[in-house]
Amino acid sequence: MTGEGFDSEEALQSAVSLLVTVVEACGAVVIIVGALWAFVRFVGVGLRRRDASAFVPVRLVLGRFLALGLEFQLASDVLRTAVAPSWEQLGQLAAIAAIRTALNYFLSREIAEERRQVAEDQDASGRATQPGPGPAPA
Amino acid sequence: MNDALDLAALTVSAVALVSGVVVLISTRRLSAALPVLLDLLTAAGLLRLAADPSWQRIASAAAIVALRHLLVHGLRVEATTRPTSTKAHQPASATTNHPATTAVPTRSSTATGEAPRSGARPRSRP
Repeated sequence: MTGEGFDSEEALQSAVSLLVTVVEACGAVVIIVGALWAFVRFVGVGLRRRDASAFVPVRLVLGRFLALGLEFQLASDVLRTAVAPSWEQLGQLAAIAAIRTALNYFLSREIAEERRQVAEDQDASGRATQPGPGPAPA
Repeated sequence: MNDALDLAALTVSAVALVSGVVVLISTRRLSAALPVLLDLLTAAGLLRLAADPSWQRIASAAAIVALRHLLVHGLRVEATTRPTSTKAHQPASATTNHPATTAVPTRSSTATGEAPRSGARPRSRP
């Protein structure tokens, strides 16, 4: 390998590792912000209300934060495959990507399920508060 | 960066415990507190996974994810097999019927020759 080729390869590796760090940090920031926001909301809702359904919307938003953070982390995994020199690192990368993909899939399913439940609850409560039918028209 | 991520994961784990306790005290139901705890523990596991990955960390993150999924699935199955209240399946005809037919509920659908739908009778007479 020529010296110039070696230099460009090194430059590519350092650029990719910098990108990986930046993208992974973005994912981590999203997850941390989501967790702290959810904590504040959980405590606030827990102090004000006693029913379990009040926590479902907060969990929904937390799930969205986690899914977004996971997307960033999966992006960093994809970037990392560009510079994974050993089989050991490739294996770890594959395992992490599998965990993150599975978690993303299950989170999406849970979010859809919770959203459906919230919509049903809102529908039921709206129906319950609707005034009854008036007298029949003549 | 790894130290910062480890610290963040530790913080989120503590936050998960506190949130779980708050929800448990508030609702007095483990089935409400457990998903909250597991959601935030999953966030902590993801942060740990973003730090320097080793096989041990990967295995523990996979175990947390699997355990969380198993517990959430178990709770959901338990919730669906529990006898539900009657509010979930209120007949739609009770609110959407024509005023004339709701004024005389006994002649809602059978009088017109329609087959009665399941749960379509709005109010049963004593």
